[in-house]
Amino acid sequence: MIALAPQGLLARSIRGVVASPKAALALAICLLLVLAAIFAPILAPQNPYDLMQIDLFDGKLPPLSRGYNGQLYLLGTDTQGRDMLSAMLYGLRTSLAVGVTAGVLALAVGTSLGLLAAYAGGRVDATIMRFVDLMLGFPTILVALMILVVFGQGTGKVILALVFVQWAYFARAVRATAMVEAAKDYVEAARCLGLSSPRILFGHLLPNCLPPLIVIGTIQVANAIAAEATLSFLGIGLPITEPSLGLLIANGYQVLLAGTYWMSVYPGLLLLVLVFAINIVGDRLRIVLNPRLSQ
Amino acid sequence: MLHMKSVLLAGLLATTALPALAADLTIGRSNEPSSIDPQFSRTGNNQMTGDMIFGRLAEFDQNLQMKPNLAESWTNIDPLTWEIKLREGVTFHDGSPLTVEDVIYSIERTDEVPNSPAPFTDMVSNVASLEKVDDTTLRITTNTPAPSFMESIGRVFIISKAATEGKSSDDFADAATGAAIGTGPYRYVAWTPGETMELEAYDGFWGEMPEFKDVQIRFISNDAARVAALLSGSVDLIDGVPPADVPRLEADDNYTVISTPSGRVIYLGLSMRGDTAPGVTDTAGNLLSENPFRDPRVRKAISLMIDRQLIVDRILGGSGIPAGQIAAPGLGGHAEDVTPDAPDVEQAKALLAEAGYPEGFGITVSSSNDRFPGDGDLAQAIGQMLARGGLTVTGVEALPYNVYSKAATAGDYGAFVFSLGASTPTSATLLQSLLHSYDKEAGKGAFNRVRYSNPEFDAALAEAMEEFDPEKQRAMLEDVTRMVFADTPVVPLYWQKAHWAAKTGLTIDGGLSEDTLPQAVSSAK
Repeated sequence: MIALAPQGLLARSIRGVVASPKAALALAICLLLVLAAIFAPILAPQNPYDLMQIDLFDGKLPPLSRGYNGQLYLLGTDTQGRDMLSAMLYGLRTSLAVGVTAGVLALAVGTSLGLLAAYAGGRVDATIMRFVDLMLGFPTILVALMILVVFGQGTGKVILALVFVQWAYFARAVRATAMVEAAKDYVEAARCLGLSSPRILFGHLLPNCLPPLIVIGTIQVANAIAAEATLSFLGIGLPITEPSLGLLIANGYQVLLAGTYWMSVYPGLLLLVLVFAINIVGDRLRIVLNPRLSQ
Repeated sequence: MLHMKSVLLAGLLATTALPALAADLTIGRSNEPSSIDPQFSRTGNNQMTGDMIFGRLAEFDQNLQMKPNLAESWTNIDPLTWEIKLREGVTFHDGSPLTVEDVIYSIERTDEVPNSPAPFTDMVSNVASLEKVDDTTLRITTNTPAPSFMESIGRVFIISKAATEGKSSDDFADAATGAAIGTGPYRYVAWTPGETMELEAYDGFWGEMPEFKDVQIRFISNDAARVAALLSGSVDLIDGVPPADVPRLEADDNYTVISTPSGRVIYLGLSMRGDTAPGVTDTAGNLLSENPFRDPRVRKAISLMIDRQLIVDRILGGSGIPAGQIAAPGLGGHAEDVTPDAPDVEQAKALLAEAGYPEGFGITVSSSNDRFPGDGDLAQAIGQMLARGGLTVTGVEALPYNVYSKAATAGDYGAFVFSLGASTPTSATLLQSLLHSYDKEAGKGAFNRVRYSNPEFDAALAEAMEEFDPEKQRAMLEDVTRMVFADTPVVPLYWQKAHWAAKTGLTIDGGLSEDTLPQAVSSAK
């Protein structure tokens, strides 16, 4: 077994995903949504965070109505007169940014601790893994809720809460893979050459642990987005003037029974599509990168 | 062991019984009391709960006019002396009779409840001495002549001395301590905070027996969830119906909507408490070194930025009346000629420039999100209007009321949305608690969270409150209102209209006080 070059891994992943039409479509949707999020300020007809641009006069307009100044609201407006399409594009941006940042940070923390546990073994391993077990035992939303209650609201705190509840998944997966890899000859060889521990850990062990990490990372990003939406829906996530998808759904839900369905349904659909697409890609990656299935 | 068993059995019953069947009447209520001790806090949530279980010397009808309750009658012997005759045959829920000692004890305890977030201090601050004349007569002397003294003292909740002496406010919540016994129509059974409160009609109640015996009150703060609870049949009646849902419920034959204008005013407070105001920054985002809200021109400018009619139309679906003062039309002391400011952005900008803020300043608008219909949306709408008026709105925050009210009382907010419910026949107590210079000792300005202080107004209000002739007093209160609102002490926004919805066949006698009392619910005739 030779350490895979990252480029090789990436190429293999993409080739594998594209090979399945279903996964290819999901990947295309993901890319499209990421692009839409990145270019939201250009694409959106309105900056929904700028109180000067939204007008109470245009509140609660159904989809395809025209506002006071003649502008078209493709997906309608919310109670404040915010263009739903713009709010959703910006909300997507917030949701993705929070989800990806939290996912990547959790990956970094979890991977480092998992590798350390596998490589050091003994008491260090036991301590880290018992803590992982403890973390996995708590319901995610409950822990995140408690963190937000203690530290207060805000984007940074939501990310912190999400990292805190997610790192353990990475740690456990990396440790399992790294334990297998650490017993292999190339690690023995590296030790004999007198390479330093960090170099063995990150230069040799880590690249060989990447495939499961990519799979978990993808799915955890989707989970983080869904968790953030849940927290915002419960009213303790992000500020109300800068709604994420979850907060948009929550705002619309308040008036759902009054018949203004569009305020809640469209952001809900967008969230559904986003999380679903990421999960399908993740699922496909699991098949492509699983050594037992591919070799 | 027997106790264990009954607890288990009760638990089993609680999980199997359907909520709507468990009680004769199930009410979905938007807000929750912070304590069962009726003297703990004078917030509307707590007083409403208190009125179910406890009695007071006087009561106030739907139009807030005073009527005798536990006091059968009262006479004003001289300007400083009052004689109160207690109703005979009134008993507490444990069967013990109401005595003059209980009343004296209750009045003395009112301003001594530890940790009270909103004490009843100003209702008893004028009391100089309390004296028992005979078994049913109480004599009270006051420090200053107070024509409306019964409006204050009549509002004190009467509790049992024997049952509560030495007990804390928290003990009231535990029915086993027996502290929560009153003389009201309902006996306290249990309270699970955040979920339900159970009440049972008291057979020995001295007044008219309520129609429903077992009452369950469910606390559902989320507007949509509360409406959904009514639609699903798990509650019979809800309060705080969101204006957006009113047309839909009215159109449905299975439900009745009961609406009344309310005495509750929603206002924007601009804190003058400190040398700086929280959240008020220069345009670069640094905390401003002075407090612009101390300048009446700035307060007036902000008032001019707000389009009240637009808020009423768009946020409330018409369920409000734009306000330019505190006392609603119909209350004594409401001045017809003090009208709400019409929106005028140009004049607002000119006033800001005159006050030394040609570029405006940064401002954060704070609000509760579960206290009254549309409060979270209201804060955002105000944010929009202030932004158009030339201020830099750096944030809009909407928080749950129990967190928000504490922080607002502590002075954590610069610009904040708050409400004040009316419960007296005239504007006097409203003006005194909201705008009188804050004086903890004298019990004045208890709700003056902005710390407005105007000695001229204080003096004029005191004079009006000492006038014994009701006609003259009302005229004086109107003058006081004219004087103080020329100074924009707070920015009045609108008076609410309150809505209840019930299954067809039920009705509730609501009123200016907006209370949702089980004893006011009856089968529609």
